[in-house]
Amino acid sequence: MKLMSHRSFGYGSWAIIVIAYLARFMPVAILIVSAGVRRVSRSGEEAAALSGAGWVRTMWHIVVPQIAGSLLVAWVMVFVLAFGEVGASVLVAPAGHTPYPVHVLTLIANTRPEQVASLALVQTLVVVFALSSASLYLAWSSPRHA
Amino acid sequence: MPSAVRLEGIHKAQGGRLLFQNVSLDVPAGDSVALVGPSGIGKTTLLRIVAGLERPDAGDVWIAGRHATQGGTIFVPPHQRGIGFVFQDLALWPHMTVAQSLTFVLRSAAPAISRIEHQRMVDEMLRLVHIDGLGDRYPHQLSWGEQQRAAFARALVHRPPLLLLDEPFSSLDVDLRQDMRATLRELRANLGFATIFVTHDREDANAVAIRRVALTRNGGVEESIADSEE
Repeated sequence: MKLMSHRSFGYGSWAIIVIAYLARFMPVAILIVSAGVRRVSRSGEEAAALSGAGWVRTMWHIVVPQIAGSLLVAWVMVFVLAFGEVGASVLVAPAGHTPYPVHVLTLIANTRPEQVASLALVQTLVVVFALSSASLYLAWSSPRHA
Repeated sequence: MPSAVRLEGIHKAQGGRLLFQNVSLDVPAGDSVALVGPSGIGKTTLLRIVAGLERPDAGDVWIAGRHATQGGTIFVPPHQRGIGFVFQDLALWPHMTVAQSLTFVLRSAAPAISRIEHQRMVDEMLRLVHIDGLGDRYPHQLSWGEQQRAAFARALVHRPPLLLLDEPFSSLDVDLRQDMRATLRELRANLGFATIFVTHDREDANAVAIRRVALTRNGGVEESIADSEE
């Protein structure tokens, strides 16, 4: 009997990195988004249904806009955590698909500190940009949810 | 013309406790019924059964002649019942302005009508509830009384033949309550819809309703004519 190829499960492709990050950080995203969903009033959804809106329309126009902040925060948190993730990346990254933090880790052992520092600075700037953008959006949108 | 609502033999228990049994009620088109009774007796539950938001344990609901609910089976879901509903907490959508909320309702309930006509209907409804000029405000930018009017506008902008109200005046001061009663009577006179109005306030019931239906502790109903309409 021919053994099933290890590639069948995504090993050896970039998809395994995405799957590893999902497994690692999905609980964080779910915690943040579920807190946002709990703040959406049930009667608001019922009001939409009684106004003639079906389930999809209610979700898209009533629920999603009210949890947009939570979705954004969840995305940023997962992005920041994943951007600095080394453990899972080292374990599953296939040849030719080296994630940024693994690349930095490799360079620490093989190149001058200045070059590593510049890459770490880029990493920091990307994280700061993501956090600042999310903060600005939340500050702009929060008065409507007061 | 079929009744706006007809209930037959509605029975509901919750958490092992009987709320009401064998409730039958006929609300002809244009009629106004106050559903009264002490707190916790099931008034809001009965209103939600009419709206299709809850299922009775037994009994039938007809909305405008359509068999909408039979026992635990809902034939006509809430979004197809053509009902306006004013919730106790108003349930305004915080991310939409008043005008956007009304437009959302019209696009959901009457998508075939043109956008120009939608705009005209929104403007007319804001005028009828006396908040014309406040259409571009978000709910948090309105006073509580204005939010009440916005909730009425949203419930009525698509011209439903039936309006359900769940203690909408319970958190208003005396003056504002008088204003809102008058506004509701004006709206009924202009638009001709039937109402079922849940309240535990006898004055509200008498001021707004033609008939008074009381849910009783033994699970039944008693019907009477409201004392007077102001």
